[in-house]
Amino acid sequence: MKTKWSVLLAVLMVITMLVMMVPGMALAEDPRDLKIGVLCPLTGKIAAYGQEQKNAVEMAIEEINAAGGILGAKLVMQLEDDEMKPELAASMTQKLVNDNVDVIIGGMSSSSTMAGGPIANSKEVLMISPWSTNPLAAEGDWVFRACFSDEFQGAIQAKYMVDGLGCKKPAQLLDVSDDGSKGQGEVVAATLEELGVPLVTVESYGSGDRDFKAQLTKIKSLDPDCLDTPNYYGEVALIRVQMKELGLDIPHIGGDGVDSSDFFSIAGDAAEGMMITTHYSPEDPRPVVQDFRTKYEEKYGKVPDSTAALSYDAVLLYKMAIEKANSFNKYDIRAALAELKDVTTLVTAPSFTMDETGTGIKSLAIVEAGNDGAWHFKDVVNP
Amino acid sequence: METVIGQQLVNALQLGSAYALLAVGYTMVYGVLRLINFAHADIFMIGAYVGFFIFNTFGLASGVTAFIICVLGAMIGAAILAVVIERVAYRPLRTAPRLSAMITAIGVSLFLEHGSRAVPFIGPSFRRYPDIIAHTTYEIGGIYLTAAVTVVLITSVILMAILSYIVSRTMVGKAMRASSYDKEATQLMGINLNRIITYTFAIGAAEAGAAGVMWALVYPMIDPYMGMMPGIKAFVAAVVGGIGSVPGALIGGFILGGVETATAAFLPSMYRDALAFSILAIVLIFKPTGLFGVGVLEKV
Amino acid sequence: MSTNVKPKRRGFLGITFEGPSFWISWALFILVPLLLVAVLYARGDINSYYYDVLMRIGIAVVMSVSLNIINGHLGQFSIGHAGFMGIGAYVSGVLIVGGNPGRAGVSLRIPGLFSNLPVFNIGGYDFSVGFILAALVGALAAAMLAFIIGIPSFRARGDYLCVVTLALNMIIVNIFLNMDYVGGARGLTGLPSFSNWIWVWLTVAAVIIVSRNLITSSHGRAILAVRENEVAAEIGGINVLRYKLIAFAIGAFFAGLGGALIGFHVQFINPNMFNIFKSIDYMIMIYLGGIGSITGTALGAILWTFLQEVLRPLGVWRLVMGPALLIVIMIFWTKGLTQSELPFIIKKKAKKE
Repeated sequence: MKTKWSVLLAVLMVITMLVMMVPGMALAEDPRDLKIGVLCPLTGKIAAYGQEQKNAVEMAIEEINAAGGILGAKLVMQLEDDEMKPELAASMTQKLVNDNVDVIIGGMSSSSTMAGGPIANSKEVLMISPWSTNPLAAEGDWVFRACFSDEFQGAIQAKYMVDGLGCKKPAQLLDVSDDGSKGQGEVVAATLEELGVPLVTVESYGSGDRDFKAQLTKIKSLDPDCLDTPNYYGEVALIRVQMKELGLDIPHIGGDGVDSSDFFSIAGDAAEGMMITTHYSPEDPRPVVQDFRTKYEEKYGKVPDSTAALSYDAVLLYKMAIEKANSFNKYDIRAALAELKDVTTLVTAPSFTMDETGTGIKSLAIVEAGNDGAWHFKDVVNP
Repeated sequence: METVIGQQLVNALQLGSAYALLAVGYTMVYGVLRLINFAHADIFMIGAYVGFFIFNTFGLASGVTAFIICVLGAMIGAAILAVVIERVAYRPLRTAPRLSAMITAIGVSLFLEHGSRAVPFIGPSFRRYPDIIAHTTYEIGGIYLTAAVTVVLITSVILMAILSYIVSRTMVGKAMRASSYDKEATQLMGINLNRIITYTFAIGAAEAGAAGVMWALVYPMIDPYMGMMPGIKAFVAAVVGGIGSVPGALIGGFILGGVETATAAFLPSMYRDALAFSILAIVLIFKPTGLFGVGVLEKV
Repeated sequence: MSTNVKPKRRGFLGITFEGPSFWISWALFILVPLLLVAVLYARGDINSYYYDVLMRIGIAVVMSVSLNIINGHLGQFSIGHAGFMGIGAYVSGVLIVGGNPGRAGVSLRIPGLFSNLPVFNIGGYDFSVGFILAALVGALAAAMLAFIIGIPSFRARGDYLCVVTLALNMIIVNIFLNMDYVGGARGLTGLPSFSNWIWVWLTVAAVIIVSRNLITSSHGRAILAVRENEVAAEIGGINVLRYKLIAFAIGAFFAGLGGALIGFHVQFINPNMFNIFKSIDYMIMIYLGGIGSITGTALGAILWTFLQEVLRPLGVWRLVMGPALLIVIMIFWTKGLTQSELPFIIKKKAKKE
C-alpha cells in the first residue's frame, strides 16, 4: 500500500465527515411557508406520469397561493427525482425530510412509496401518495393515499371481466419485474378464482422487454376469451400492437397503469377497443372535473390524465386536512386527514372517505379507448 | 399445434436476426481490439432515432423507398458516430490495459444514454416509431406475418450476406481478420492498423444502426434506454458463438433468439431470462471458446 | 520484494510501519471515524441525509474493495458482483423477518429464524445479535455460491468468466423477481434498522485488512502469480484452481456482507437493487480508482458515490456529467487514478527534455 495514498485516504475520509457535519445553507424562508415535497419519477418507465404529477402539483400550488394560501401560509414546492428506483426513493425521502418539508406528495409507483414510507413514518412526516395502488403501500400512520387500493381495483377488474365482458376463459400477461403490475395481477387472479372463472394461464415478461410474441402465441393457442394486462402503458401499447399482428382479437382489459395519452401515440390504430379501470375520466361532467380539465389544458396543453388529477387531489387533501384541523401542528393535521369523510370537492371522485389504513374509499371509472386517441367513459363502480 | 410452432419459429427468426446483427458489431471490435464495446448497444439506439428523425423531418411516405432511405441514413449516422467515439475515447487508450478501455466504453455508453435523454428533442419518454412500412398483417396457413417483419427478415439476410462477403472476400475483410489474429504481424505486413480499426468500427456500427431501425419498426416504441437489454443479450450471443468470429456471432444471435422464444413458449415464461442465460452459461462451460470460437494457442 | 526480511519503512511523520506505533495508528484509523460519526449522529449533529450518504459510501467501499480482490488481485473479470450482494441481502433479510407465503395484501410473515434474538439498544442504536448472525450467514451463502459457480467456470479462460458472472447476476435477479416467498418484484419490506455506521465501518476495516493481509501473505503471492501468468504459476506448483476459488469466495463473502448492510439500512430490499447496472457501478469505481490497489479502489468508491450526490443539483445533467468525467479521467489516468503514471501530457513534456 503506497504510504502517501493511504494517509491521503484517511485524511480524505475525515474531511468528508467534517464537511458532512456543516449544516446545509439555510435559504431565507418565511417560516410560515408550507414546504411541499414532491417525490417524482422524472426518469424511467413512468417519466410521463412523473411529469403529470409535477404539473398538477405546480398548478395546485399556484391556485392555492393565488387564493391566499392555506390559513394564510403560502406553499413552496421542492421536487426530488426518485427515478422510479426504490433506493433513490428512500434517499430522496430522507433528503426531503431533512430539508424540513411539511408534507411529501409522492411516491408515484408503489415501490417508491413503500421504500419512502418507513422513513416518513419514523420521522413523522406526512406522506400522501397520489397513485400507489399496491395494497401494502399505505402502511403506517403517516402514509396516506389519494387513490384506492389494488384490492379494490383488481377485484373490480375481475368482476368486470366476468359480468361485463362475459369471460369464461381469461388469460393474463404480467410484468413480473414490476410489483405494481404483479400485485394488481394477483388480486385479479384471486378474485377470478373466487368467482369460479380461474385464469387459463398467466404469462409474464420483464421490464424492458419489447417482444411479447412468444407469450402471446402461447396464450392464443389456449384459446382464451379475454386478456388481462395490469401493466404500464408503454408495454401494454406494444402488446396491443402485437396482438393485432398475431390475429389475437379478444377483449382486453387493463388497470390504471395504462391510463395515459401516450398509450394512444404508441399503439396507434391498435389502441381502439381496450378497456381499463382507472381513477377518473376527464369526460366526467361534474363541474369540479371540467374546471380542472380546462385549467390544466390551458396551462400545459394536454388533457390531464389520472396521475395529474390524483396529484392535484393529494394537494387538496392536504389543504383540507389543515383547514379542518385549523392548525399547523402536524399531529393535528394527520388526525384530521385520517378522519376525512364524504369529501365532495375532489376531482377524482364524487365522494371520498379516508379509511383506517389511509387509503381512499372512492369510486372507480371504467373507460374504453376510442378511435380518436382518447379514453371514453364507459361505467363507474362505487365502493 | 403446427401453426403454433410455425408462429414461434417466425418469432424466433425475427428476434434472432436482430440479435445477430448486433452481435456482429461486438465480435468484430473485440476481434481486433480485444475491447468489449459497451457503447455498441447505444449506437443501435441512435440508429433507431436517426431513422425516426429522417422519416419525420422529411415527411416521407410509408413504403419500401422510405425504409431504404431511413436504414441507409441510420447506417451512415451510426458509422460516423462510432468512428468519432473511437477517435476520441478509444484511441488514446490503445496502449492501456484492456479493462481501462472497457470502463471508458461503459462511460461512453452511459453518456450516450443519459445524454440522449437529457437533450430536449429526444427526452426520456417513449416515442412511437413511425410506420415506415405500413403494419399490414397477413396470414399464411395459420401463421401471422406482418409486412414489417417480412421486410426486416429479408433486409437482415441481405445485410448479413453483404457483411460476410466483406469479411471473407475483400481485402479490407482479410485485413480485419488478420489483425484479429495478430496485430503486430499485420502492421508489419504494411497494413495501416488505424484505418482497419476505423473500418471495423464503422461496419459494425452500420449493422447496429440498421438493426436499430428494424427493431424499432417491429417494436414501435423507442426510448434512450432501448439498447440496454438487446445489447446485453447480443453480447452474450456473440460470446456463445465464439467471440471474434463473425459467423459465430450471427449464429449465436439466432441461437439466443431461438432459446428465448422456446423457453417462453414451452416453459413458464416467468423464468425466461433465467433459463435462457443458464442454458448459455452451460454451453460456455462445456465449450469455453464458444461454438465457433478460435482457441488461441498460448505459447508457454 | 523477494527478501524475507521486511525493511523498516519510514512513514509519514516518522511513524514507522512496525511495532506498537503501527498498531496504534491502525487502531486510531479504525476507531476515530467510527466513534466520531456514531457519537455525532446520536447527538443529532449529522442530519440523516448525510448519514445516509456516508453509509452508502461505506458500503460502496466494501463492495469495491471486495471486487478488487477478484478483478484486481486475481486478475479475473467478474462483472456480476451485485448478484452476490443480493444473495447476502436476501438471505439475511429472510432470516430476520421471514418469508411471505401469502398473496399480495396478505402478509403472513413466518417469523425469521433469528428474529427472536436479543437486541441491545446502546446510545440510540439497535445492536441485534440476530443481525450479526444473519449477515454472516448471508455472506457465507454468497461465498458458497461463488465457490460452486467457480468450479466449472474457472475452466473457462479470461473473458468467458465475465459472461458467466453476467449470466449469474441476471439469473439471480430473475429468480428473486419470481420468488413470491421473498416478495418478488415488491421486495422484502419491513426490515428493522439494524445496520448502522459502526457495522459499516467495521466491515470496511475488515475488508481492507483482510485484503491487505491476503495479498502480503504467501497465499497472496500465489494469487498475484496466477494473475500475472496462469501457466507459469501452474508449472511453478501453485494450485491455480484452488487460489482462484479462494479469492472469488472471499470477494463474494464481503459482497454478501455489503448486501446485508444496505438491506438493513434502507429497510427494504428489491431485486432490481442488485442488477447488472449496479454491478457496472462497482466496476466503474474500481477501475476509476486504480485497479489492483486497495486504496485506489476505496478512493474510487468514495469519489464516485460522492460525485453522484455532489452533482445532484444538476438534475438530469448529473447523469451525463458523471460518465463524461469518467471518460475524461480514463483517458488521462489510464490505469485509474492511483495506478497511472503521470498523465500522458506531462510525460510528453518530460520526454522532450
